[in-house]
This record gives sequence, C-alpha cells and structure tokens, in this order.
Amino acid sequence: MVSEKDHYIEIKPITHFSLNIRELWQNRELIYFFVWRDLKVKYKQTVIGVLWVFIQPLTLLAVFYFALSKSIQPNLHWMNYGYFVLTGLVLWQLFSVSISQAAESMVSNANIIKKIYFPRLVIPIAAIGNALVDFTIMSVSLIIGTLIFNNHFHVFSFLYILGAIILTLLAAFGIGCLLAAMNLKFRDVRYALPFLIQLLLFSSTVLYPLDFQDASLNLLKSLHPLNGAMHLWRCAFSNEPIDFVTIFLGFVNNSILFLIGIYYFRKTEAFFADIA
Amino acid sequence: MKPIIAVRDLSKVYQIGSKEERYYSLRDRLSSPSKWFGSPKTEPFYALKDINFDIYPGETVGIIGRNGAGKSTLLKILSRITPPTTGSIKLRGRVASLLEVGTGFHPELTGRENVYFNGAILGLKKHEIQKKFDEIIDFSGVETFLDTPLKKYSSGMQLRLAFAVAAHLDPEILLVDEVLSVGDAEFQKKCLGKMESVSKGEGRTVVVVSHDLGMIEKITNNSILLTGGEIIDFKNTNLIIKKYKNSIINSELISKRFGNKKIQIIKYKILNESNILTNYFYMGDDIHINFQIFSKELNSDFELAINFKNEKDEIITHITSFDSIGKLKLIGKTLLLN
Repeated sequence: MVSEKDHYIEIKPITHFSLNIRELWQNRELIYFFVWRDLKVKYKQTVIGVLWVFIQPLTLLAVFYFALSKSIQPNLHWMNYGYFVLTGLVLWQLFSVSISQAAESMVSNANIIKKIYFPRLVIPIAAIGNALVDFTIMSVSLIIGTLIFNNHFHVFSFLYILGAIILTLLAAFGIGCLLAAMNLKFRDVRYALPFLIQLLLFSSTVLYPLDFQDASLNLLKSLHPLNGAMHLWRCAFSNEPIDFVTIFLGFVNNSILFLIGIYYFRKTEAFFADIA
Repeated sequence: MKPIIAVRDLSKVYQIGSKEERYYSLRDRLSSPSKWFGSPKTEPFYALKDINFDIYPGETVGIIGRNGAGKSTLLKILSRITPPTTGSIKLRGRVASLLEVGTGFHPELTGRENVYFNGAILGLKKHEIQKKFDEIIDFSGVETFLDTPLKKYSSGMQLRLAFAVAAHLDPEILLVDEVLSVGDAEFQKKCLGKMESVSKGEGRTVVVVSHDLGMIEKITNNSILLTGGEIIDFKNTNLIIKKYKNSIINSELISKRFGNKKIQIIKYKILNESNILTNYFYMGDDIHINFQIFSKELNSDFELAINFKNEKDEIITHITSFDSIGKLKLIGKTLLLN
C-alpha cells in the first residue's frame, strides 16, 4: 500500500529551474515504452525490416569509397580508406539519427503532450534510445567483422568505444533537446534540420581525416561536436596513437552543448502544451 | 478530513496576440523589423481568475460552463499539462487524467500493443497492465481483433478499446474531460456505470467536465459553475444546473452585420413558453425569439428571416415572415426613431 505522502503533489507556477532527475527515474518504464513503440512502428509493413539499418551506411560507403579512395588513401596512415569510412559512418549514424529523431520527437508527439502529463524529457531520451538500438546492431556487426577479418583490437579498444559513445551522446542529446524544444515554437527547425545534418557531416572527420582538410580552419574544426568522439572511436579500431587534447576538447565542447540543450529544454517545457 | 484537491487563488493568463500569433516562424519575425527585438505585442487574457475550491475524497464533482469559461484550462492545470500563472493546487493522491480517450493510440500497432502503450502513458506500470490485461480486453469486447493493427478497427472499436484502458486506471483522483460524448449509447451507458462504480463504490474522487448536463446530473453530487474564468457557484448539481440554464445570456448585441443599415436588428432573445430566457428546449416546446429592430424610416416595410444551421454551419431549414408556410409571426414592431 502506498502512503499518502508518496502521492502528494503541489502544482505551482514555474519559478525556478530544476532538472528533476528523480521524476525522470520514476518514469523510466515510460522511456522503455516509447522506444518500444517507435521500434515496433518503424519496421511495420516493411519487407526487409531491420536490414534497413545496414543499407544506408553501406550505400554511402560505396559512394565515398569509389569517389574519394584514391585521393585520400595517401593521407591515411592507420587505416584502409574503406575501413576508415565504414567505422566513421557507423558512429555518424548514431550521431545524426539521434539528433534528427530527437529534434522531431516533440512535434510528432504533440498530441500526447497536449493531453497527458509526464516528464517531457522522456520523449527526446526515447528518441535517442531508439537510435541507440540501431547503432548497437551496426556496431556489434562492425566489431564482429573487425574481429574476423582485420583484428586491430587492443587492450583499450572497448574502453575507447565506450568513451566515444558517451561523447557522441552528450552532444547529440544537447543538440537534439535544443532543437526539439525550438521546433515546437519555430517550425523552421524542421526545414533547417536536413541542412544542418549535411553540414555536420561534411565538416566532420567521418569521410576524410583532419589533415586532409585545410589546416587554416583547424581551430574551428576542433570545435566540431563529433571530432573528439570520432578520434577516440577510430583509435579503438586501429593503432592510431591517442591525442588527449582532441579528446579533452571534445569532452568540454560536448558537455557545454549538453548543458545548453537540457537547460533550454527544461526552461521551456512547462509551456510545450500551450504552444505545440 | 483534508481535501484531496485544494485549489488556492489559481489564475491562468495567456498572452493573446493581436492577430497573427498562432504560428511563430522566423520568417514572421524577420519580415517585420518591429518584431526583431522583444516578444511580439500581446495582451493578457485571463482564462482563469482567482479560483478557490476544495474537493474531498470520494466526491464526484462536475464542472459546468459555456465554451471558453475555462473548464478545460482548469482541468489541464489540475492534470499538470500546463502550469498556472499564479496560485497553487495541492493534490493528495495519484492522479489520472482523461482529457481524450485513446491518447497515443497508433494506427500501425495492434490492439494489444496499443493497450500497453496507452496504459503506460496514462501512468500504469507494466506489471499493472499485465495484471489487468484480460479484464481490459473483456470490457472492450474486441478480443478477436487483439492482434490486428488498429487502423483496421472501426472507430467504435477503437473507442471501446481506448475507454476500456481508461476505465481500468487505478487513481485516487480521476479527471475527465468531455470524453463520453462520442460512442454509441449502449457503450456510453456501460462507461457511465463503470465511472459511477469508480466514484461511489471504491471511494475515488472524480472531476468531470461535460456539456452533457444529463450525464453530469446523473453521476455528480456537486458541481462548479464557471463563467469567464471565475467560479460563480459551487454546490448541489441540481441547483447548479438550474442556475446555469437560467444564466445563459442569449440576448446579445449583434456585431457582425451587412447591408444598407436602413433597418437593423439591435438585440434578440430566445425565450420559452413562459417568457423565460433559456437555451434549452424539449421536443414539442414552443421557441419564442424576440427581436428588437431599429429602423431609420417610420413605417418601413420589412421582412424577417431565420436560418437554422447545424454545427457544421449548414442550413437545415429557414422561415421568413413572408412565407405562409413558416409559423413566424410578427407580433408588433418595435420602431425607434433616430
């Protein structure tokens, strides 16, 4: 039996900022249900179902391999270009799908937001959880493939992989929440999003190494939210020596993005139902 | 006994834009330089103003009022969907709100999957849904279609399933908004029965908003009458309904006009046989409509027509003073000279 105290709620005007992690934790099952629903819906009425996870990165891999392999390979010291792009695209997929799904998540669940209360962060978290499921399938395949064909794994590989995922999610969560909240108010976000994702791809180290790009922009490029994570990720799949400055910059960078995103989201969420 | 719902000095202010503010977009902002800085010009609108009331455990309370009286806003604040601007509410119990049946239903998911997801967003834990699953399906009467995607259900079946989930929520406080107005009569009865057993049998507190005064009368003891965001009265439902029916102002000034203004309708009143203002008529009642007409010319000859429209704004029938078929009679002319 639950005591009266457990269910005492006081509803008051919003005066101060709070994260309310406790409430989010109480609703962890709801996060699961949102992920579960989206996964179920995603592959309904598809013939090849979950195989779609592989098609996009593999197609992109083929395109970039044939287009850029000859010119980039001489600049690559630690990896074959095909493998470089493949590893890059797997992490990129986590980053980009997380951002775009999180950004759309609040608008596409607007009907629920307007009718039922629960901590709103459940929705973007679930969107990212969904991207994480696809990523798990891809990365496990990549790791198995690596172990079979091309064993570059070393003692720290799995630590690096974990670090890279955390760094990626920090940034994706921050950007995703920011865009999700803005999207409710300014529908422009929807149109800017594909462009933003493209920009992030071509300015990243997914398709070409940093030293292949113009060196004059190095400082700017070190601010790219995926750079630190990507460096750590590739170090896991090769013998490339780790550069702690890049990792540290990435961590600081992505933490700031994370905080900005979550702050903006929490600050505006009380009024989501009024503007959605 | 402590009230299970205690509302104190509650107000909700919306900033209503002069005209265009429904949709924000960057383009709107950019295209008019005056809006580049600061928020767009708005006026405060009190959807609710200084609301105070207490509801005690086990009570079933109705909220009555015209459209725009603030009923739904009050329910939205009680269910925490939108925050109040000032004031506070203390809730001593688990709350479930049914502002809509079937919120979050997804057409691609099967009936079974929808029951789980809908239950989860309404606040049930997974093990609770599992425990009640058979009962829910039983209540809905759609067991044969459990593994069929929802999009293949008839709308009636969807509604049954949705209400079945809602009816099996287990809160101490249940907030219900106008959800029963849909669905066939038999199922409505079943839901009403379930709601009554919820409130009376199991000692739960229910707050219901509805335009269906008959339903409110049947299931509630006390009701709140809201007008223009303020509480007019809170007492026995029968008395409130009487008061509501009588308070409805149907004599209004007409603002939308066209024509040459040689003759104008100033005011109208809708009355029953005993000359009492009302909007409620039963089958066979006479409806008296009283017009106050202003004319610039003395003894001007005019004709009066009334259109009857349904809620879709389609004309069902019309009568005119010219028509001999209609029963519209002009009893005296109120002519005013300017």
